[in-house]
Amino acid sequence: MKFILKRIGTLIITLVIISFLSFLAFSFIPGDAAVANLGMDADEAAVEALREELGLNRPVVVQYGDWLLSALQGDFGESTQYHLPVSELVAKRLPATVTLALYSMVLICVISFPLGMLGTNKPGGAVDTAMTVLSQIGMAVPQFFLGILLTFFFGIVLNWFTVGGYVSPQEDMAGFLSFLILPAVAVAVPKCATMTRYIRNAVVAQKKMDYVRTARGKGNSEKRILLNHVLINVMMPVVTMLAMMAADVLAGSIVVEQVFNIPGLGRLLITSISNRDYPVVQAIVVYIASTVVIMNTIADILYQKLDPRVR
Amino acid sequence: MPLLDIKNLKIAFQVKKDTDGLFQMLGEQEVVHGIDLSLEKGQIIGLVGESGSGKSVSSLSILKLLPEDAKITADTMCFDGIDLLSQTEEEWQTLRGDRISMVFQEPMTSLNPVLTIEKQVEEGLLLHEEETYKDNKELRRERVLEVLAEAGLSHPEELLLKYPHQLSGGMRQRVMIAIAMMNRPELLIADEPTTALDAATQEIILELLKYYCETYKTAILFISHDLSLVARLCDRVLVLKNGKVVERGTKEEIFYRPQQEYTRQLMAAAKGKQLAGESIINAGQVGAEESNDTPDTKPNNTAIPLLQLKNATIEYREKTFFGKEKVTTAVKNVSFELYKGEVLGLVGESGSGKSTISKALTGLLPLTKGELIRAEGTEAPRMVFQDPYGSLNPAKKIGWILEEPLKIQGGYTKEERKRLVRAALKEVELEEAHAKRYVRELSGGQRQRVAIAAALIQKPEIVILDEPVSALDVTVQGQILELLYRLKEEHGMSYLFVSHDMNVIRRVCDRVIVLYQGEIAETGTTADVFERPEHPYTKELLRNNMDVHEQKEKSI
Repeated sequence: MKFILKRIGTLIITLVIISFLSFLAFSFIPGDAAVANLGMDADEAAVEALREELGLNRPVVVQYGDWLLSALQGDFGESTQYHLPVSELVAKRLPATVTLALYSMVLICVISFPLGMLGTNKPGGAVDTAMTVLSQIGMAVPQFFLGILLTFFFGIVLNWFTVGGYVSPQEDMAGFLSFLILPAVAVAVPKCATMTRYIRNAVVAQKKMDYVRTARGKGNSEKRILLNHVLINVMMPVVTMLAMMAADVLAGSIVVEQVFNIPGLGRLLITSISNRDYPVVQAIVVYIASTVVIMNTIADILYQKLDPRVR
Repeated sequence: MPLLDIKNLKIAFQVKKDTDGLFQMLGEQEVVHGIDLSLEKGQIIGLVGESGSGKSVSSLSILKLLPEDAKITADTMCFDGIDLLSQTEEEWQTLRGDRISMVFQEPMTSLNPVLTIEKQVEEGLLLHEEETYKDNKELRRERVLEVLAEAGLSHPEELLLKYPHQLSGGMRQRVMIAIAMMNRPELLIADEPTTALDAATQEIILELLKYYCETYKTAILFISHDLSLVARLCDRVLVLKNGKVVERGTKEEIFYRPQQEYTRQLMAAAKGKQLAGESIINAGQVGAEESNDTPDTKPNNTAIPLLQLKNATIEYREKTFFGKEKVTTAVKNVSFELYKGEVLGLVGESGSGKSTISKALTGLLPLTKGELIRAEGTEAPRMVFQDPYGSLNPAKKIGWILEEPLKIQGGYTKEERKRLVRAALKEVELEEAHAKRYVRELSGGQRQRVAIAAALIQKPEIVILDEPVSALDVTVQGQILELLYRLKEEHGMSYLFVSHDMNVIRRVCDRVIVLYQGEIAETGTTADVFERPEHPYTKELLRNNMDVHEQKEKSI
C-alpha cells in the first residue's frame, strides 16, 4: 500500500513537470494565439489588445499557475480556433482515440502470447525460424503503409466498409466498433511483431533456467512447464514492455487516424499545432503524458504483485 | 536384477566446429566414453570426479534431462527392467518424479522463484496421483506438511506460503529434497546436493539422505567432487575422470587401497593436504618462522599495521516510505589489524558478516561506528570475488578488462598499458593470446586467474580474496592457491582471505579470525585456532570439516 501511495506521489510530480515544460516550450515558439487569430497582417495594437485580453503578456510562471489552477478544476481553457472549451473538444474526440488504443492493446496481447510461445519447444527449429521471419516482416512494415494496404484491400477490393466512413459512437455503436477494427490492426501489427519476438526470447531464456530442469524432473510435460512454470516468470518483463508499448500505441494511433480519416485526438492535435491553438495542444500533451505515466505506474504495481522478490 | 543397470554408457554432444567463416560444420564430441554402473535397491553409490569428468552429464542422462542435442547410447540402460533408451516422452513423464527423482546442486535457482513453496511441493502429487489429490486440497496440504516435516523442516506450516528467496540455503535444499521424496521414489539422484551449502548444513543433508535410504530403501546415486562427503555416505564409489571410470570399489577399497594416482590426488585434496597445497603450508610455516629475524614480515606488536579496523560496527538501514528506519546490525564491534606480508583468514558461515567486512575495507560500505585506518601511502585494497563469471564483463575481451583500471587511473600510454596487461597475464600463468578471448571462452580456473590479474595490475599492497576458490575443483583450487602464494611472496602483498572452507583457510593463512553472527568469536594463529579451538562455534566448524581419515575410522 505504501508503495502504491509513493508511486502515485511520483506520478503527480511527473505530470506537473511535464505540463510545465510543454507550457514553457510554447512560450519560446515565435507567434502566439493572438497573431494566429487575427492573421499575420493584423494591426499591431489590435494584437496587443488581444494579448492583454488573453493574458499572454504575463510572465510564463504566472500563466502556468493560472492554467494549473483551472486545470485542476477540470477547466483547460478555451480553444483559440474553435472558441469552445478545450475540455468539451477533447471529450468529443476522446472515445475514438481511446477505443482505438484499447482495441490495439487487446489485439497485441491476444496475438503475441500464443505466437510468442509457438516454436519455443525447439529453438532454431522450422516453426521457430518461420516465426522469426514473420515477426521481422511485421516489425519492418510502417503503420501508415499497412493502413493504406488494409484500406485498399478490405475497403476497395472486398468492399467490406466505406473508406473514410467513420461513424460516431452516438450514431451507431456497432458501426463505430467495426469501423475501428482495421485501424486497430494497422496500429497493432508492428507492435505484435515486436512483442511476439520479445515473449519468444524471454520464454527461450527462461527455459534454460535450472527450475525448468527441476520441473521436468518432477514429471511435468513441456506444455505444463510452459504454462505453470515459465509463463509467470515471463510475465514480469512482459508487463513492463506492455506499458512502454501503450505509449507507442498512442503515438501510432495519431498517424493511423490520419490514414483512416478518424476524428480522434491525433487529428485534433495536428490541426491545433498548425493553428497555434496552444490550450488544446497543452491539454492533449497532458493527456498523452498522463496515459504514459499511469501505464508505467500500473506496470510497476503489477510487477510488485507478480514478483515476490521485490515485495 | 539390479534396480539400475547401465552398461557402456556413451554421451556425445553436438558441437559447432569453426571452419573458415561462412560455414559451420556440425560435429560430435563424446564426453562420456563407456561407463558401467549398477545400483541395487537401498544401496548408495558415490560418483566422484571433478567438473568435466562427466559425472553430472551421466546422472542427468538417467532421467534424460540433458539438452536435446545430447546423444545417449548404451549397451544396456535399464531401470527395474524398463529400457530407458526406448522410453517415449509420455513414459518419461510417468517415471520422473515418481519412481526416479533428482536433487540438484543449487537449490536457489532450482526452485521456481515466483511460486510458493506449497505450490512447488504439491506439484508432485498433482502430477502422479491426480485422482486422489486433485480435488482435495486438505489432503494435499496434509501430505505436503508431512514431507516437509520429514525433510527436517520444523514449523512447515509457516513455509507453505513463502517463496524460495525467503528461505536459507539449507532450508531450500531440504525443500528440494522433500519435493524429490514426495512420491517415495525407488531411486534418488543427488547431483552435488551440498556443494552450495556451508559445512554444518552439509552434515545435516547427508544425515537426511541416509535416513531416507534406511527408511524407504531408496537407492541413492550421490554425485560429488568431494571424496570426504562420499566416504561418509556411500557403500560403493566410482571415480570418474574425463568421462571414464578410473577406479571403482567399496568405500574401504577406495580409501585404504586406492590404486590410481588420480584417486590419491582427490583424496589428498579432500583432506586439505593436497600435494600441490603441501608446498604452500610448508612454505607458509617456514616463512612465519623466518620472520622472527625479519621484523617487516612479522605480525608483532611493534610493526605498524597496513590496515586497522577499530571497534567497527556496520548497520544496514532500510528506509521505509514514512521515514521509519529498519536497522540490521551486520557487524558488531570488530577490531583487527592486517600486517605487511601476512595472510589473514576471515572464517564464518554465510551471514556471519564476512562479506560486509570486506566491503567496508574496500570503501564500498561506510562504517556505522568505529574507525578504519590505513597506513600512510597505502591505497584501498583490491578485491577478487568468488564467482569470476559473474564479476567479469561478458561483453568485453580479457585484454580490455585488464586494461580498464589502468585507463581509469590514467598516466599510462597505450603501449605501456598493453605491456602491463601482457605482463599481468604472464604473472598469472596465462598466454598473451588470452587477451583476445572473452570470459565465456575460459575455464573456471582461467577466469579466476584473470580476476586475480585484474586485481594485481595496479600493484596493490592489500588484496581481499572473497572465497576465491570456492567455485573451483579441488585440483584447480590447489593451483590457484599456489599462484596466490607465489604472487604474494614476489610482490610482498598482504591478503585478507575470506572463506567458509576451513581446509582452505588452514592451508593458506598465517592468522585466523572466526566470525560468528557479526562478532569475532575467536582469533589467533592458524595453528592455535586449529589445534586448540576455544569457542564452541570454532569447534563445530572444525568438526564439520573433519578429515576423511577420522571419518573413515569412525565409519568402518
